[in-house]
Amino acid sequence: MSLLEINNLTTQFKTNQGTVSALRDVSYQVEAGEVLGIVGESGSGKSVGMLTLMGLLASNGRVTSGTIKFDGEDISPSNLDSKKKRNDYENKMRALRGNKMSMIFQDPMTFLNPVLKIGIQMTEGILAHTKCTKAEARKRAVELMKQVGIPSPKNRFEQYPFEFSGGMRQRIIIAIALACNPKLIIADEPTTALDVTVQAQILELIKKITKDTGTAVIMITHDLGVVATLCDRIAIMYGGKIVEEGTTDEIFYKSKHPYTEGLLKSINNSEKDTSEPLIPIPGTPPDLLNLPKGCAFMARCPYTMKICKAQQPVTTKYSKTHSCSCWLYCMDESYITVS
Amino acid sequence: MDDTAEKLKSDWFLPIDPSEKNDEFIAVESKSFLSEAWGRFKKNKRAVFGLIVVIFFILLAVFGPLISKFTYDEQNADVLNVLPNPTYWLGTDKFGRDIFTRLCYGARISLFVGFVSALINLIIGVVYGGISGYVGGKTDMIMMRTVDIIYAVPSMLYVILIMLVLGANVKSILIGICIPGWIGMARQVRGQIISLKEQEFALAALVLGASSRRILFKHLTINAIGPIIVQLTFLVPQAIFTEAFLSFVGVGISAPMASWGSMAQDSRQLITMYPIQLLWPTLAICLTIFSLNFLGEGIGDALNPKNR
Repeated sequence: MSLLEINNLTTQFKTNQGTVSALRDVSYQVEAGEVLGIVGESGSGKSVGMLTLMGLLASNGRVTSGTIKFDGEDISPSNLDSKKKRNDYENKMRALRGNKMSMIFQDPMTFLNPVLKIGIQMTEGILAHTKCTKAEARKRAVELMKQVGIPSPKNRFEQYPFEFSGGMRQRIIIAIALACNPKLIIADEPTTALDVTVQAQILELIKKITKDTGTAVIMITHDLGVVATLCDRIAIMYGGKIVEEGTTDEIFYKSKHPYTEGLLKSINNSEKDTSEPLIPIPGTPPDLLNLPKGCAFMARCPYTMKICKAQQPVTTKYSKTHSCSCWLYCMDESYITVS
Repeated sequence: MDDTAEKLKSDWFLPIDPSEKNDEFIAVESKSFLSEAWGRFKKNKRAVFGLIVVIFFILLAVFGPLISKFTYDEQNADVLNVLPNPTYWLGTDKFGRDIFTRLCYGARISLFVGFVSALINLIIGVVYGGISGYVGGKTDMIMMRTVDIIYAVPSMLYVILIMLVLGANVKSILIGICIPGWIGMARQVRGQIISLKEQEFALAALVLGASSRRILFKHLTINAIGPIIVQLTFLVPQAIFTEAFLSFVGVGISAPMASWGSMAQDSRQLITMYPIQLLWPTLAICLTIFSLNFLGEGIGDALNPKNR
């Protein structure tokens, strides 16, 4: 049994312009202790997927179908039609959040409360989820600060966020996420707001921590370089769907989907001949308000066929871990349901 | 050649042990927010003056009646309307009562009304405004319209009506001031909370599993502490002035209890003959209100982190 199983999750937002389908029929699993990278452009549904998982959708967001199973417990946010069900779900999620499941945020500058001491913010989760005294929580926080490599943690405990550098704040956020020994950490672009040199340190730290504690990590990013160094498996998202999924090697060396191909072509590779120009993917991501009937990538794909416009592609499996949704690899008329 | 080799052997050019590099040490000893704020406050001369005067009146209210030889209602027909002298420091009024003693009792009432009503308004305003802003939606709508209704009735009307029902005493003045008094605070806090709850650290606290109550009162309210304190420091003089006004027009503290307002009213009749009797209570009211305003302004400036 996997640590996290997500099946056919669909999330929609009601807006003034109409219904936005941010997640469409997304399914994936995360095993205990593994690092899954979720890669995609802005607006591809990466972050909404994680917010759905944590139960933190904005009030106009609704999960219309799908199930989520975490650590043997059903935490599906769909069918919350009665008030009692919603309250039960909210209570269940509050017990999980920060405890078994925690989050590392994108921007360490804004995710720490500027007027509370670091120590108070670090012990927050510990005090909320475990029955321990303030002194014990403090001891744990100091331990955590040591673990993420913050010097003189005892003095740092009494300081405010503005007295920390960006990299140190991100390390504090990682420490806060680790506080209750979670089984799953969701890292939402943890390095985008940092300098390149600090980025490498933070990635090293996340790598070390997953190794030491056996925590599973879902790494959300648009940086393929980050996932290459860190992840065991990668899922590529586009237009609210997972278009390709596989181990890191499978994605980097045996990629199937034209979108993945495009992503790989557009990253800078220092080993390659530098005179070779980068090839960007032309066009812009689809408007989630009115998605095409067929494949969402259709408009930007170099291989678009007639069927791509008419019907959603079928998922093809290549190995136990590798799968891809594209008509290119299943040109079989028996799949076609439209006329 | 030999020389360079010799030079390299000098231990200044040996590689350093990594443990001695000691980066990321705490370079500047951190000062707490309050000690920094106090440093800024001290530089503001008007604010310090205000603080000293307020402390003087507080001491007067607490210890004044103890050091005086008279009581506030002790009448002495032999010494009507005397001018200040060594026995009667500020003179006596038309009933021969010692003005200094009465002034001290007046300070008790004024400061008590000022600070207690501010405290009550603070608690009600922060809780009400906080809940309204944090919950939002229909709850916010209903709560704020209720506030509008309370605000629509002139506040003096509340005071006078409550005086009629509960009688003229400090308690009814307090209630009368507090019923409409918390509204400004509630509105201010609501506005602050609405903008603060969208901040990302609020989401971060939610992700940590903190309860709504904890997020509201621990994470968000403390971020709004600057505006709250400033609002608070202006509530105090406002309440003191209201009390003085009520006593002056005769619906406040009833005789023989002394209040600055009622003392001013008593001496008003003798203004042509003994203007000095009117001077003392007016001076006390003016000084207190001015000082509290200076103090509030000073605290507001000191707590504003942009003035660093």
